[in-house]
Amino acid sequence: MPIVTFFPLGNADCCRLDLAGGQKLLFDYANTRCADDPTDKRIDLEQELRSDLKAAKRDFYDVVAFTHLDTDHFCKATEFFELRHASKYQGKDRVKINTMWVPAAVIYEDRADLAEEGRVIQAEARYRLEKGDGIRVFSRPAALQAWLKSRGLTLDSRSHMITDAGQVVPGFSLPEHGVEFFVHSPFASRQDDGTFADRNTCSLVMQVVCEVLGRKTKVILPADTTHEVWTEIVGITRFHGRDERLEWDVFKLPHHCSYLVLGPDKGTDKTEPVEAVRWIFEEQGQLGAIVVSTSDPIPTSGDDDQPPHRQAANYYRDTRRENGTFLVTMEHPKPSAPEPLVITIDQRKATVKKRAIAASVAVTSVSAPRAGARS
Amino acid sequence: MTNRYVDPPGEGVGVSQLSVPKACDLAGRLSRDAIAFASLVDCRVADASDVIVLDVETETPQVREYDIRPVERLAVCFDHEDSASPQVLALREDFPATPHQYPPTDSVPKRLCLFEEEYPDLQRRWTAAFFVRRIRDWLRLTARGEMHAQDQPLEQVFAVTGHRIILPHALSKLADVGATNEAVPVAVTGVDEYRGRLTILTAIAERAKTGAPPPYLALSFTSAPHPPDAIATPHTISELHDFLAAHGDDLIAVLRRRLLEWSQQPNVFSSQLILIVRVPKRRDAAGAPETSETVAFLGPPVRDIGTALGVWEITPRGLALMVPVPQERRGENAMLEGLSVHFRISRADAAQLNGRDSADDRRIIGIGAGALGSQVIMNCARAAFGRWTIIDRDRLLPHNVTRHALGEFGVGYHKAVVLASVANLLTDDLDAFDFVVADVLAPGPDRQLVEERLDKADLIVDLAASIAVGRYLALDAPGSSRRVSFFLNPAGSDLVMLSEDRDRQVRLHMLEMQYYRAGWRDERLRGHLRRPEGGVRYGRSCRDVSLRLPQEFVGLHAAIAARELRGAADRDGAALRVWRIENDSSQVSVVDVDASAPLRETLGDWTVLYDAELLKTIRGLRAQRLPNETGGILLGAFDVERKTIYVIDTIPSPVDSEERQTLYIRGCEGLREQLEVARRETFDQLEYVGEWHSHPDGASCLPSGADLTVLDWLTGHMETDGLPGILMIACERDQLAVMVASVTVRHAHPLE
Repeated sequence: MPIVTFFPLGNADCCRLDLAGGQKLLFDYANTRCADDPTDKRIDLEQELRSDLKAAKRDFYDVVAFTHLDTDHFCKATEFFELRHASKYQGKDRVKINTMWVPAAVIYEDRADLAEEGRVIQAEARYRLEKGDGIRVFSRPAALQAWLKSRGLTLDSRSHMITDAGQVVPGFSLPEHGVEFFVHSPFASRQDDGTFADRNTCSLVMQVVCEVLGRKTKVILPADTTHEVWTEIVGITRFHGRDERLEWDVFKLPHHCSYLVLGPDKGTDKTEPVEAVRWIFEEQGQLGAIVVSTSDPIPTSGDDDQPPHRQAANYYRDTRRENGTFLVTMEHPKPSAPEPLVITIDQRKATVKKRAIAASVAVTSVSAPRAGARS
Repeated sequence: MTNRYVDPPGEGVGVSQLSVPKACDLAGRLSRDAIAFASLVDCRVADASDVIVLDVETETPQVREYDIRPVERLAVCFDHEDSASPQVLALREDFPATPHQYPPTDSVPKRLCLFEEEYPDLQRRWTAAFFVRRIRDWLRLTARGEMHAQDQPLEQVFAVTGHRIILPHALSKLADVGATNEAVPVAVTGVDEYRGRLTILTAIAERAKTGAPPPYLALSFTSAPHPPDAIATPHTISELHDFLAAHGDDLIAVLRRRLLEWSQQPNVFSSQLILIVRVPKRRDAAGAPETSETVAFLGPPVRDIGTALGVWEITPRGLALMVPVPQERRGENAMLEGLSVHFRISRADAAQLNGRDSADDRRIIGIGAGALGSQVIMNCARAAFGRWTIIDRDRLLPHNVTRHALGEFGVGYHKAVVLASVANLLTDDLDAFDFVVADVLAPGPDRQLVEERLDKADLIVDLAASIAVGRYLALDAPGSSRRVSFFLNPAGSDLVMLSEDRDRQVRLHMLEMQYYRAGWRDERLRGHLRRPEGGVRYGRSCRDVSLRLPQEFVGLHAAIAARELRGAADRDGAALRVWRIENDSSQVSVVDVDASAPLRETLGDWTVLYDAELLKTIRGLRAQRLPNETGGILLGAFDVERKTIYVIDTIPSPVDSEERQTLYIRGCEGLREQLEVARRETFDQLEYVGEWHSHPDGASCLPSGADLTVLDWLTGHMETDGLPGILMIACERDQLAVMVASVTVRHAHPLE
């Protein structure tokens, strides 16, 4: 049974996908918790992931995707993962990445504003692509040609590690793994002069399709993506007659419930979406579909510039009121004590787990506090 | 999808005005947000109860079997006396009818049936958190359509009347009885009434029986397939007809036809009608029915139904058939009382309820239906393990019932007959157990029958507590299937299993000998075969158990034996196993004894049987003493009837023996005492059978002149008992010469 887990990390991302066959995939890693602050309700991501790996008797992920090189997608990742390009990132406690997934820009774009950890991850991605091992780049292949050439490599020698938009990621299939990954972004749009313009090269957008006993459940996992980009994605998808590639049962919102995902105007109480985005949220969501905002709790009033925006949340709440659920990672199961948001997928599609754990189970799942006469 | 709720009972009050402690606790915890996924909506007080209204968050999948919503509002009514489990009402107006609700399931609000346990059992571990967790589990599992685990028999809580009906198993299977839109008669075989509540027993009616007018008349009607909705509760024949008519059935027409037939048999008019309705369920309109739901109703007497359906009128002169039938009479007044339905089980059900995948249909012969045998067989019957033929010649006597599977009802009858009948009645398969009343050793006129059964058996189980039966099965009985013996030790505290290997290389009689050897040599079996002290004994054999023996021992061992029998039936190798009950603690320990490969020599008309274990022992003793010779006495047993000598063990060279390079004189110091121990520890089953000694390396295995003298000496002594003796000579390269010392087979030896 596939399981999708989102972690309460504030305005930051990490999503784990556990497949029926035992494979583990991680989409982003941002351990944002402030360890010195006992009131910080964000989870200790490292500890959470390590105990899961320990239970699974593993020290690696099959795939770790860095969907976007902003701090809220990679915070402290360089302390957690083993990186191949420099020995200082290696050691027995570090968690291995069998295959790293990155969008094209991570390879060929030198961003001046990139944080130090981002540079390290970029170096790792480039190292793996140069070595030709343990990497998948999401890009129009030709867009990588110049970079490869600068390293003395040909496109042919690396093309099997590159997946373009509109394709399904090789190595996973519905019959064999019960899952497939369809790539929406980065993509390219054809210009009037017949050339291609590469778009949204810094963000990965995927539709994950899980199949259990013949029933498909679709999860959209996008990195930060604005309404302009969604409009293009919808246009391309519908142009190719593949509406089903934007159907969804679980939708992880981009950018922590920012109104810019929906439209250009925040609105007073509710953001109105542009038509393409409206189509996605109002027509493509399946019966009982779940919207997940990986963010801080939604403010009840005020007008903060930073997401989450209550106006955007109101839109999602309204569209899901009749049919489905809108969930916020820092509010689940309750804002005073957020916990990982676990969604199981089976022949009844997605179920948000709401199990109240019996005391005997809780107590025996952890060490007891220190006791004894000597203090 | 805005939820509309019905008003909960009572008037709104503050938490402090509640009086039932459980209600106060629940409301307090909810108001403090101390229970996960639940929140307080309202506190109320009604006439006889405190009412807590709460919202619970449910774990619901996207695709739901029943429309349970992510948040459900419930009212919990705690009666002021706390005498019954709190009522839980689903307040949403359109809360679906689902399994596990109290009837009528077409009412609003719906009342959830949360607990199978009795309230007094629940009270001991009742907490508000436990209660809310149970509510949430109910909602979660109902949403998934998994409220019933597969191994959990569905008990309909359909009938608030408390009446029950027990139906034949065949009616639980769609294919077996009755086509769609057809009614078949069902015989009512018994009715038990307790405080106004009926339990009605039924069977498939083979044919209509005449005689005394039955007080109840039962019909089973199979409807057209329905989609998998819950069945609402009809209160009249008219309502039931309407429910079935929605999918094309015409119940009224079927009943009218039946009534016309019945009008020919006036003695059934006062009988009350029991109507059994089987509704096949399928997931989609095109699919075949996957399951069926059976509901049953107690209706009015036939006379009144005929009137209610316009088939006849009661006139002062009797019954007047109505022609044509007034179609407007549709049974609006024919009231139906719901019966909760139970089915008799099949062998497959019995196996599954015993935790096994399916019934085991191998043919098993069970010999001996005494204390242990009857209980082993009944254990197997309850688990549908094997189709048995029970062979036993005895009648059940009054004193037997203290430790027999049968009770007083069987006294005076043959054990095999009653046991087979009782075993068959456990399930709907009435042919699974068969019997032959015979002594397997002297079957008389039944010889051919017994031998035929043995020949065709897949497994033969000896439960006869008789060495003779064991030897017969090992050596003389027909058939090639494996034999397994179970018996108790004389004290009844230990159970012994001797199980042949699949190819029958190690047979019961050799296992029996190896068991004796372990009985005196193996520390773990110390005291196993000793005569029980102070016990009254009537038996002569070591397998006859004491007359004073607690049933607890027999029951415990019968449970082990039934379980082990399943394992033994599928094992490749032979097994010799003893279970011992620790008298003080009732702890059971198990002793596994390795079965050893049998060896055989035929010397004249005598057969000598020994085994690899004996060979190993003798070889070891010889090697220890080399270059000197050594020797000792041989232990074993005689089967004079079959001219067989078993040689199974040795008491090694006594300390006063003379052991030299070409000479051995067996001493005797302590020998008698040791032999006595061997006899005591084996219930006299092991005895002296002869002598052995070794020859040094380089020496022949052939008997020397001196050896022949020993043979003569042995022959002379054994002759006084009318028995032969054995002389064995062990020499280099593990060779062993075996000689029978007897007046008839003098000096015979097998060396090539």
